[in-house]
Amino acid sequence: MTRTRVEVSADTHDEPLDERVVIELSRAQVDKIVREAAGAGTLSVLLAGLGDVREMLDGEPKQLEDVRLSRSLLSGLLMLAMFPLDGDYLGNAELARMLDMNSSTTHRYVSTLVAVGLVERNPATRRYRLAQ
Amino acid sequence: MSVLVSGLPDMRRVLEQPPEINDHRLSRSLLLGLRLLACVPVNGAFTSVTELASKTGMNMSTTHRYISTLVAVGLLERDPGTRQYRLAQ
Repeated sequence: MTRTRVEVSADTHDEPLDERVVIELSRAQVDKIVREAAGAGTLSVLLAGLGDVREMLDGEPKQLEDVRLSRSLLSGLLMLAMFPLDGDYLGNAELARMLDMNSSTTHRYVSTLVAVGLVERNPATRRYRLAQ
Repeated sequence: MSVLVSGLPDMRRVLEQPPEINDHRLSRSLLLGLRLLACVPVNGAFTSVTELASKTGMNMSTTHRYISTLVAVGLLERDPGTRQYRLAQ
């Protein structure tokens, strides 16, 4: 691990400074913040991009064809992003309404997200939430 | 998306089971797109369309379409110099 040398002149520092501890803590904190920022950043990118995704889905089919995007994958990712991060449940009808899809397609997509372990289903209520 | 990325190891395991792909109650396109995402190295290393196509068993054109979709939503990023892709940092 790289040590950073901190030089403090006698007349400017007024309290004892444990150079090593200060630097290590700061590195750990920076690492932690970077990790958290990376996680939050990726999420915010997706959420910020949702408007665009909606436009792509709502737009003329030509646009989808031109950029050669997968409508199914876009819809599935959009559905995933609809789930509340606090673990609240959504029902099939709510998802269908939010995504403006018919209930059978909605069910197919949400079942796919369940199959890959990203979303979980409560068998009693038949509602879904992000896998905990 | 942190939820998606944190779920990747599990997803990887599930997506290694080929029968899922042919389950008619599921969306094949969504499964393939997620499987492709699960094939991108989690350590942030770059990978090429050819590598991803060979890992997923999809043709180049389909692979490219799914990659472009994942780039469009900000999950993957492209290095214009090498034309390779990695998980968005």
